Formats: sequence, C-alpha cells, structure tokens
Amino acid sequence: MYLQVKDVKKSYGKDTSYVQVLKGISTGLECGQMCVIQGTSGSGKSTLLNCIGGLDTMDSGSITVDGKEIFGLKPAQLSDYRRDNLGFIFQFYNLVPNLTVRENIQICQHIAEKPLDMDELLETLGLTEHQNKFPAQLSGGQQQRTAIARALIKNPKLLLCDEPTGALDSKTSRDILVLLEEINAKYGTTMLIVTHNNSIKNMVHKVIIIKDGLVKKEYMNETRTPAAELEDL
Amino acid sequence: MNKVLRKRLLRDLRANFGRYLALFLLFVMGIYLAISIVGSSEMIIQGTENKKSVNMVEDGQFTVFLPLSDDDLNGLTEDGTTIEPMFSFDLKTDENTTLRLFRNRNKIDLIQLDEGTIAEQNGEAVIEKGYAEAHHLHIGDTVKAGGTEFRITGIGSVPDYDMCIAKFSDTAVDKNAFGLLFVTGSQYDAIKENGDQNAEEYTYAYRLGNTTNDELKEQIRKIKIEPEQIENKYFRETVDDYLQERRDIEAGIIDLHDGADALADGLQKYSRFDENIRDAADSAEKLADGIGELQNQTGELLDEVFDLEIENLTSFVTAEDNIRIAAAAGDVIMDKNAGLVAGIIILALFAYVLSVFVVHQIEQEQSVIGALYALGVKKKNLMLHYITMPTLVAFFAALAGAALGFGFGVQSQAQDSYAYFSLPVFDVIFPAYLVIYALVIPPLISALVNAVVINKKLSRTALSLMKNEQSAGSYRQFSLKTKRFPLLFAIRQLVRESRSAIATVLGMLVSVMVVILGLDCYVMCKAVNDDTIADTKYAYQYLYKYPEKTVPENGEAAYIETLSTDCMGYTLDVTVIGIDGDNKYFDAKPEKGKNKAVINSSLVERYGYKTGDRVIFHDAAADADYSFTVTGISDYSVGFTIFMDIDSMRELFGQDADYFNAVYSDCVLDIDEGRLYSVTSKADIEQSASVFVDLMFSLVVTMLSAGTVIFCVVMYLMMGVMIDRSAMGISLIKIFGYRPREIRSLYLNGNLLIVAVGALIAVPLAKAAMDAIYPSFICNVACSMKLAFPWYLYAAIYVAVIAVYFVINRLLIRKINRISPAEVLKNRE
Repeated sequence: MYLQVKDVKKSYGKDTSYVQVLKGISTGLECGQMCVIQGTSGSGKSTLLNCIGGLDTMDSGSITVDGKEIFGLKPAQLSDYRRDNLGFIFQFYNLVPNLTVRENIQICQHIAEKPLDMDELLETLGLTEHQNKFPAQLSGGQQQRTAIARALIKNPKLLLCDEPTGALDSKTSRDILVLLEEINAKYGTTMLIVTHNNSIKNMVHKVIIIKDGLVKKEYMNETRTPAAELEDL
Repeated sequence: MNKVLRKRLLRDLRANFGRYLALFLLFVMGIYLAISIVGSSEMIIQGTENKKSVNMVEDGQFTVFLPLSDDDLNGLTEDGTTIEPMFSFDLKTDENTTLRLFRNRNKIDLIQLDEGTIAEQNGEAVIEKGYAEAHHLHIGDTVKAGGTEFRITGIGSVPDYDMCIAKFSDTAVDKNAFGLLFVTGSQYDAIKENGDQNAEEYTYAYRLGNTTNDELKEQIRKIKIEPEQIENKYFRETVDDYLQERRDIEAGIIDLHDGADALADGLQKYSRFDENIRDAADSAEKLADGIGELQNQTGELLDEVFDLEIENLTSFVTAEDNIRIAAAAGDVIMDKNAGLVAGIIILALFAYVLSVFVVHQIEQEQSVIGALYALGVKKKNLMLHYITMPTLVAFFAALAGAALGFGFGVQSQAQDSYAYFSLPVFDVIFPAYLVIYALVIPPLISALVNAVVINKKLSRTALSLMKNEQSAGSYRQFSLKTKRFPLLFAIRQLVRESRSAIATVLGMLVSVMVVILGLDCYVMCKAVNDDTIADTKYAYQYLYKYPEKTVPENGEAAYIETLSTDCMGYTLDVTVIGIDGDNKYFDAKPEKGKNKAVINSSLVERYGYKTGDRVIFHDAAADADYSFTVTGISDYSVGFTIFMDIDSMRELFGQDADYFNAVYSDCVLDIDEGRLYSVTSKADIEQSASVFVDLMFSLVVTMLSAGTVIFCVVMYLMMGVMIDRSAMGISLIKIFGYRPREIRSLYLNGNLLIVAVGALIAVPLAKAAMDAIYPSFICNVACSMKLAFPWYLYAAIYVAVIAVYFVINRLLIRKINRISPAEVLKNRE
C-alpha cells in the first residue's frame, strides 16, 4: 500500500464541547490510484485529509505514506514530509493574489528537488497564454488550473484535493477532472479527492464513504467512467 | 440587532487581546506624555498666576537711597496704590552662607508656608524652603545668622523670590549659599540696631492702584534728596566729581575777589604819593566791588548751570522685568510648547495607527459585514458595532493615561522646577483643553476613523463584500525579470504591502519625531552649557554701579548696554558690548562706526542674520530703536550679544570718551565692592549654564522613554498587521512544506528592508521637522540654538531602530510560528 491508514482517531475540545471526529478509520490506497472520499458534512472526511496531509495531528492510530509513518512527527518533520511528498489543491484555489500565474507556480517549484518543466506544465494545463496574468484576471477554471499546476510542479507522489470543483460550474468542473485524469495517467500521481459531488466517484479507482467518523463503505470501481463522460457535475 | 452584535464585543476583545492591549498602551503612553509635560507646565504657570491674588504679588518694587517719609508715602498711595517696605539686610552664617533678613509681610508678597507658622515672637523665624532643604533644616531647628539664633517656626516661600538669587545679576540659584529669613518687626529692628550688619537695603514693593508703573515711577523720581544726605561713598564720589567744577569756579571767584581787595588795599597805601596811583586804587576798589557783585550773582548762575537735583530712587523694577518673580513659570514655557507639539504628533499617530488597525480589521471582517448587510442590518448598526470596541479601548486608555498623567505625571514632571525654584506646592489643575485633549479627542478620533473606513467599505455591495472580491486593479501589476524566486517574492510582497510599509515608515517617522524632540532639547541645552563655558574666556566680569575713571590694572575695559528684540511676542534682551579692537576675551573685531556691529552666533541661529544685514534693536528705557549694519559674526554664543567698537558705542550712547562700566580680567582685581553692581566668575557662569541641562533633564527622559515605547508599540502593531495580512499566504506555503527559515526570509526580510530604508528616510526627516519648529519652543529664552546632532547620535538612533526591529521580529517569528497550516483550509467554510 502506498497510503496506509490504520485506526486513526481524532477528537476536538474538552468536557461538554468534546467531539470525536474520527473514531478509528482504517483504509489504504495503492500507488497511482485515484480515490474519492465522500461523506456528509461533519462526517470527518476533511479531518482525515488534514491528518494525511500532516496539517492536523491525530490522537492515535497510524498513517504511513510510501512506508513512512507520519504519526508523532514534529512540525518541522511534517513540513519536510509535505515538501517531499505532497501536492494540495483547494476548493477556493488559494492563489497568492499579487503573484502571476507563473510566479504562483514558482512558489512550489522553488522548493522542489526535481520539479517538472514549467513551460511543459503550463502547456499541459493550457496556461501558457495566461502565465503572466494575476489571479484576479483569470476565470475560476483558470485559477483552479493554476492551483493544479502549482501542486504538480513538485511532481508529488500524493495529490490531496479538497473539493477541487466545489467552486466551479459543471463545464469547468469537467475540464478540471479531465485534467486530473490526464495527470494521473501521465505522471502516475496518486490522488485523494474529497468531494460532495456524487458523479466524481465514477471516474476514480477507489471510493471511500465516511459517516460519523468511521469508514462506512469502501470499494474499487470495476468500470471507471472517463471524466469527459461524467454527468451531473 | 445591536444587542446581539454587542455580544461579539467581548469575544472580539479576547480574540484580539494582544493588539487591543498594544493599542491601549499606545494611547495610555501618548496621553500620559502630553498630560504630564503640558499639565505640569500649566500647573506652574497657572499656579503662579493664581497665587498672585492669594499672596498679593507685587506689581513691582523700587529701591531708594533713604527711606521715604510719611508724606512721600501718602503722596504715592493717594490713588489707591499699596506700598509696603521690604527692607532687608544680609546676615552671614557660621557656614559662610547668606540669609537675607526681612520683616514679616502684611500686604504684599505674602509668605506662603509649606509647613509651620509665621514668626510671632523674637527669636523665631520662617526660613525659605530651598535653603532649608539644602541645609536639612526643619521646624523647631535652630539656625544662627549674624550672631543671632532663630528657632524655625515655618518653612515656605515668597513670590518675589521665586528664583531665589541674591542679586538680579546672579546667573543661577545656589540654595546652599543663599536663603531668606522672615522675622517679627521688633526682632528685625533689634538686629538692625545691633549695628554691625551690612547696609540695609531700602526696597519697597507696590501694588498699583489707579495708576501705571510709569506714572508711579515718575512720581517717585520727583522725590529728591540733598547731596549731603547721600550715605553711599561711591555715589557721593560721583556727585562730588560733578560738583567739583562748581566749587572750582566758586573758589576762583573768591580768590579773584580776595586778590582785587588786596590790590585795592595795597594801592590805597600809596595813593597819596601819586595821583595815578590814587586813580588805580579807586579802580581796584571798583574791581573788588564788581567781583563781589559777581560773587553774589554767580551763586544763582551756578545753581542754573549745575542743576543737581538728586533723585532718591536708585532702581525701579516692574514685576514683569523682575527675574526673581514667576521665573519658574517662564522657564516651563518651553516644556509646555514641546509638550503641545508632542501632543499633536501623538494625536496624528493615534489617527494613523487606528486607520491602519481598523482598515485591517474591517478587511478581515468584510465577508461578515457583507453577510450582515445582505441580511438587512443597517449601515448605522454596523457602524456602531465596529466603532464600539476601538472607541471603548481608546476611551479607557485615555482615561487611564489621563489618570496617570494628572495623578502622577504632572507632579513628577514638575520636580525639576520644585528642586530649582522656590515654589509653593501647587495643586494639579485641569485645564479644559487638556481634559478635552485627554478624554474626548482619542475616542473621537477612534470613532471618526472607524466611521470613515467602515463607511467606505459599506459603499460596496453586500455581494462584493461577501465574496471578498479583489479587483484586478487591487495590486500594482508589473512584470519582474528576476529568476530568483525569493527576491521576486519579496519584491511582490513589498509592493503588496506598500500601504502597510508606508504606514510603518510614517509611524516610525512620528515616533522618531518624539524621540528627536527630546534629543533636540538635550543637545541644545548641552550645547548652551558647553559653548557658554568654552566662550567665557575671562575669569571675572566686573559690572560697575559707580564707574571709575581709571581702568584697574590687569583689567580690560568694556561698555555694556542692554537693548531688546522681539521673538514670537516675547521681548528678549540683547547685550551690546563695546570693546577695544584688541580685547582678548571676545572673539570679535568690531569696526569703528556708530551703526556697525558684530553679532553673535545665537542671533544668527535664531534670526538667520548675515553679514551686511541691517538689524534693529529696541531701547525700552529711552523708547528708541537702534539700527546696526552687521559687519561680522562672532562665535561667541552666550545670550543675544552684539559687539561694537567701544569709542563708537560711547559716541552712540552719549557717554564720555573714557567711559566704561564693565571690566573683564583673568584674575581677581582690586576694585571696591561697593562700587560694583556684580562680580561674575567663570565658575558662576559654568554653574548657571549647567542649569539648562538639569532643568530639561526630566523632559528629555520623558520624551525619550515615551518616544521609544510609542515607537516599539507602533512597530509591533504595524508589522503585526503586515504579518496578519499575510497569514493566509504563510499558512499556504507552510502547507507546501516551506521551512521556518524560508518563510521568514520571504515574509520578514522585506520588513527589514522597509525598516532599514524607512529609518534612513524617517530619521533625517523627523530631525528636519523638529528643527524647523524648535525655535518656537524657546521663543522666551535668549540663547544659542545649536541643534546639530553629532554623527554618532544619528547612528545610535538608526541602530536603535534596527535593534527594536529585531526584537519585534523575534516576537513576530513566534506569531508566524503560531499560524497553523490549516488556516488556509478555514477559508473553505
């Protein structure tokens, strides 16, 4: 398993405000797989993503990425873990507003040991002509593509996507999903996508459904629908 | 709605406690600074003014050769003027100090007791508080002076010795050497009758009735005395010199008359032998008769020619011109002016800090504001809500600052004045403008700044606010060619934060201005001290009351007159010194010519005069103006001084060709003390020069410490705002795996650049601004105004700014470390 999650528990607050968000989640993902995590609001899917991304600490359990345990890592070690292994895509893009498209991507290129070729990536993502524009001059889809390029420039082994199409219309959502599919195929990037969107589960290799802090169901898609053919996005 | 929103206030306070605390401290410090400096000055100025009626402060005083008769006094007081004798003589103590003995006062310049009671019996005395303090004397202690022991029944001060100096010409207060004693009338008379004391000084204090100072002076001048009544031998000498010519003429006529008689008698003896001799004898008799007639007539003629009516008046000094009266009040005018300027600077700082603070807060909350706006909350409700907390903070800070200032700062700041001058303990006063400044202006500024900012924000649509929209034009768009990402990022960050950067530099400028204001005070006073000592090349200055005809051996004669000039409504003395071209004590070579003068550097610094200019000074006594062409500039820095060729000056002021009234020397000269008005040694001048630094010290310390605290708080707030505004970006790059050192280099190194470059601009700019307004602080003092900082002081300020930056940087690093990588994810909700 490239990503192994074992009995992960996470709680917040004390006494009356105590709430256990993750109640012992166990799951896993093979290298190069695309996986969707689904669940209702408050089910714990984002908390799980944050724990895997080293953005949040867990109370107990184990998460290994490429055989490396991240439970108990200190902040500096977690930082190196993210630097060396992960790429992030967010619902609201989180581009640095005063940097151009190219410069936003350079943020991650700068800390990558073996970054991908910038121009090739821009070309792949259809951003070449927009590379000197600022985020405010771009459409939502172009901004999300920039965010994807920024995440991919490091050539991460694991790409964590938090509602990547949550702020986009259906056509743009489809374009982004097609893009992710192509990247997965081209670079073999393992992807973990948190989404509310029910259609996206059809394009990925694995689906994990979380409810009340536990894995309610997980399964492999026998037949995947190409992103370009997804309906009800 | 407001009720619901109000619940947020405490939560907001808790959430932003550090920032509100910094804002609170800034306001407290600022208000404290202004209140303590201006309040203490006002307390002394107004306290002195208020005491005028309580202590019946004189309108002036005059000294006479002989005590006035009852008729004279009745004549002078006919119009309601009150006159009280303030006769005194000086008693020596065993420690060789001087205590000036007075009777208890009844009508004018009443004693203000700090403790104890007025002397009511012989052997009791009230002692002046400064002397008592210097000699550790308390109620019940005994002090021996002039051979008499006095039991101290009271300790206090009198308003006519606010600056307790023995002579008007004394340059500094010496509490160890001179003080005052007040005893009963009978005790005073007993000591006087004892007879072996110094000459009694016949001084009268007056409070004007239905007359003016000038009219009263004229009345007193009409009171004449006979030359024979003059007791002062030097004045008699002057009168005798004047009368000698008359006596010579009278003696000549007598001799001539005697000669003519003798001639007539002699010729008469031989007249029987010769008719011609008889005719000659007759003529000689006629000559003798004629001379007798001449002798009789000459008396009247000489009375007309030598019209010698001697005025009893020896000096007349109005309270306004009396340096002993209200001296402390005059001294603190500079403090008050500096405090007011600091206060205005601080208000500007408040407005500016608040605007940055509020803009930042509103930007953070704009989606909330948009949502509430969309939900139908009215603009005025939102405005009221967002105005409330900073305004409350400003109000309570102002309250605390005012309480500290009025409760502690005012009296603390006044300690230097209390220590130097002989003042009663004044009650703290609350001038309306200061109370408004302290309690009303800060919350008002806070409310106004908030209202303006929120109003501007609420001019956008609710949707735009909710979406937190940033237009493409929000950031300056330009392309950068550099391939070095950290540099590129730092430049972008700098440009993005340019408003905060400008705000930081402005904040730095304003707080550095307060620091430089304090340093300017110190540098100027230190320069006055050092230059006065350096420029005083003589060891002794003798000023004559009764000038001699011959210059004492080893002395350098000079002629001194005092004119005046105007400085922002204040009348300042200008000393005119007439010297020979080879005078070794002054660095000036005045040219011959009645209207040519060399002016000193103090006048140049204050008025910007240069060689070739025509300057005009006023002679108040003669009500005349004198115009001079500046022929040179002397480095002599003491007071406002101009130098003239002594012969030209004698001619200008109508004096004899050999007249002089001052002598300078580098050793003690043998001049009778009674002939002199004053003797000033270099040590006296050094002591008086150092008073400047001593009196300004607490002001300087207050300005420096307050300026430093304000600077630190402003820097912390502003740089904190910059970090806060970048929290999302920092969180983002933390997610990407940036290490702490890399984050600091991206987000804090730019700040260092801002501070480093900003300080390079702010320090000289603040210095220039303070130097420009500084003359107004010392408009009541005739002194040099050297404000130039040595290079190392600039370097020290710069290094201090950078050091403060690094300290704040350490605090901000902790702040950055506290920013969670998950912060960016919250944006999702």
